[in-house]
Amino acid sequence: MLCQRCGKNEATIQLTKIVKGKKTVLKICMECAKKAGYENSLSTGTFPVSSFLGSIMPEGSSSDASELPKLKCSGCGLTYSEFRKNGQLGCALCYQTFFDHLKDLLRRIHGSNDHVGKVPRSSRDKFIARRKLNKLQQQMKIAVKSEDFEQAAALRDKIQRLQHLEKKISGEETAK
Amino acid sequence: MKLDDLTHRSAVWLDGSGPESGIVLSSRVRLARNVSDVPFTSRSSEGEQQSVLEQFRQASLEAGILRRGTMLQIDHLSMLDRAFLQERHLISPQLMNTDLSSGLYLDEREMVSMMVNEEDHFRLQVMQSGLRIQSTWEIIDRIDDQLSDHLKFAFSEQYGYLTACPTNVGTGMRASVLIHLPALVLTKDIDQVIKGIGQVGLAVRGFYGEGTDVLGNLFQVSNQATLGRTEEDIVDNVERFTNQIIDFERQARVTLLSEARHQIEDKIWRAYGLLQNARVLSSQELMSLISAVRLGVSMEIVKTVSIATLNSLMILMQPAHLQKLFRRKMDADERDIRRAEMVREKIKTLALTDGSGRTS
Repeated sequence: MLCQRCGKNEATIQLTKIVKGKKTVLKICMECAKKAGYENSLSTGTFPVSSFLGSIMPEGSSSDASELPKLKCSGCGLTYSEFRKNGQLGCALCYQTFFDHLKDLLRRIHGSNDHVGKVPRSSRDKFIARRKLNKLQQQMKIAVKSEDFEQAAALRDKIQRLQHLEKKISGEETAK
Repeated sequence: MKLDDLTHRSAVWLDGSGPESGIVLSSRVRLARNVSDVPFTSRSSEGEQQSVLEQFRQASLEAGILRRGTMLQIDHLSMLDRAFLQERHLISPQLMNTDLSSGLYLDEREMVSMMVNEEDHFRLQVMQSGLRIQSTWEIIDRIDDQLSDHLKFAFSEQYGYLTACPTNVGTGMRASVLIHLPALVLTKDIDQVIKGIGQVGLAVRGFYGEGTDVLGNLFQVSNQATLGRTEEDIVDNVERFTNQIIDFERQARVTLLSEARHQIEDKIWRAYGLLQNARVLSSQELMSLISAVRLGVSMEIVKTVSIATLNSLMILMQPAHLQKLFRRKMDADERDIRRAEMVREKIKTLALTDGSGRTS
């Protein structure tokens, strides 16, 4: 059998990868294995997962098929079709440029669309306050829905206090 | 510290210390970070890559914890030196083959390292021996905090730390353990274990050689998702399931001993005999022999070699290491002869000078 990566040499290595219970087997040649870092036994090398991403990304529906591939990031010039081909974004701004198409992709990869982890130390207070605010607003909506108006009013007061505080903080920051 | 200083010694993460070190070789956490106003490496200019390197140099000087270390310019290194660094788990295959301006920071003990201008601007990594994911995370968390005081990382409120590949976005974190599972491979229960782990959002990778045997019976277990969970959850998850796997491996060892004690002991002692006497040893054969003897040491059947020695042989006897050690280019045939020679020396000296099972 020929190498599934380069299609040139005889495949001598079988690479088995199991992700989320799904087993994929790739038969490759020694040369490709070396390139991907499998030559030495303890290598942490991987085949770029990114090259598989394209296969789970939309090509663009029929209505916008001509437009979507040409969608271009103003930050680095990366087009959607390049992103789809390589699975790699070009700059931080790409996350905004391709926002609509990333949402679905990220949900498929991570099962989520929202960061809940660490925040850079310098902006930690601000982010944590805002995260808390979002949570309270959600709780308030639920309270209103279930007609628990007393609870909703209490939450509303809390939210207003927090918003006031946040304004003060950001006001101080711009004053700097 | 110079690169050649590393040739003879092995990294601290191989010293066989820490909890569960008979089964878990090492714990590793890495964080992917990018500078906010420069395109990711694949789309940045030569000048921008230089600026990223410079920004890191500056930040590492200012941030106390990274002051004692060395910065290497990867694109100025020979291919042999790069292969050497890859064998030590300090650079990735991508950096190994790069011609972009890129760097590697590493501290004296090779516990903390940082690849600059890999796929992301920064790939910070901390490795420790044994099952110590929690403390490894605490160390890297602190360094990340200190660096973030001097570097402005690309971060969005919704998506967290922004990375070149969407598979890393969010925490940018990969927590993993390198784990030795010879008994589970022998009892063939390993397939079940791998399947089970896959279902809880973790990935397991074996290192395959020729045929279907896993090289050295070593597996890497790591988190898959980086978005939508906290770093603490990821650490907890990897640690919890590693403990589960350790239990399975122990059970398999008990089964093997009770049902096939002579066969197992024979396998272990034969491997030991080969390490002491072989005249030609390929990397692949060495790995499988070390695996058997390592099982023997961990089950207290073999007491004349230490886990640390076996761990370090796995790294020090690889092709680029041997060539650095002998200071010349060698083909595979010659390497196999030198490898056997070095291993014989290592195992013999130990058996003579140290009967207690500790390294002198």
